[in-house]
Amino acid sequence: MTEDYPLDPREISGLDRVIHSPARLKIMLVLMSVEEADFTFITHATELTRGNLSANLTKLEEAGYIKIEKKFIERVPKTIASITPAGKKALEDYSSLLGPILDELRKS
Amino acid sequence: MNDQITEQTKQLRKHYARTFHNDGLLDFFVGWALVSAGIYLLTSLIIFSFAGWMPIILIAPLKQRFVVPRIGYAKFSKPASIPRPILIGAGAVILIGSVLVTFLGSQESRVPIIAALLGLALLFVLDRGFNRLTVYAIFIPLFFIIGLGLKVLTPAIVILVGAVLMALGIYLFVKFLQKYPPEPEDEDELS
Repeated sequence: MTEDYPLDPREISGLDRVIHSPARLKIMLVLMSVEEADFTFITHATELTRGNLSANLTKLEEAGYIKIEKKFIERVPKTIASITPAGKKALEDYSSLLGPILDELRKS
Repeated sequence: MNDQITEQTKQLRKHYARTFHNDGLLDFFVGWALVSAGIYLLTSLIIFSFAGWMPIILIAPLKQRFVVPRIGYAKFSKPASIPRPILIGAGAVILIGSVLVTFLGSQESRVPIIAALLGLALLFVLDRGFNRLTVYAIFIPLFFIIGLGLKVLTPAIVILVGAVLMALGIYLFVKFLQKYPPEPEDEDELS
């Protein structure tokens, strides 16, 4: 990379692949915006199909970025998802890494 | 936290909160409160000074019955707006003032209790930070204060405004039910 153009493509390989998928990024942003949400709410908010959402939630849970638990909300059992501290940090790291790259692209 | 994420999540939170509360229930109950206030002004029957506010306890069960199964459940972190002790203090002053006016004042001076209760509603919505509700909470007390100050507020006008809001609430509720059909149970989706 030249000195007057600091964008280094090698940095992109450092992006978190779990978050980098558009579907999972949407889910993470939604869960970042609320304290917790159920499956129906996340479906509406992300506009993902139920099957796609289910698969991606499982991947995020396996990565430790979200927590899924059964809860009673107003005496009704619900499956609730919420972002974990590790998930928040991963999203921040992702944004910190991708942000400067996008800024450089905008400038060029 | 990263500023970009913070701004984005703030916008998303606002959007979700608006959707969650765009069911017309509150519009209907604010309308009903005004209709009751109008009837109270007309008849001086004390029951109507309470009847308008009592059904507010139905909002949570109705949301649980109609809103949550359709758009899902989400818990929003509260916006950091007015510090809670200030809200509680202001609410207490309004409430005590209302009680004093009601029980020590003349028959005519009981009217301000309606404006005071609406003031409490204003504090509530400021605390919750909902846009349309904030508009109600600001304009309805103004409607009373200005109307009473100019002596142009008649029970008929209050009832009419309330009826319009109730109709708006019903319209929004029907639109909400049409836009969001009931979703299937999600119990097995995430397990």
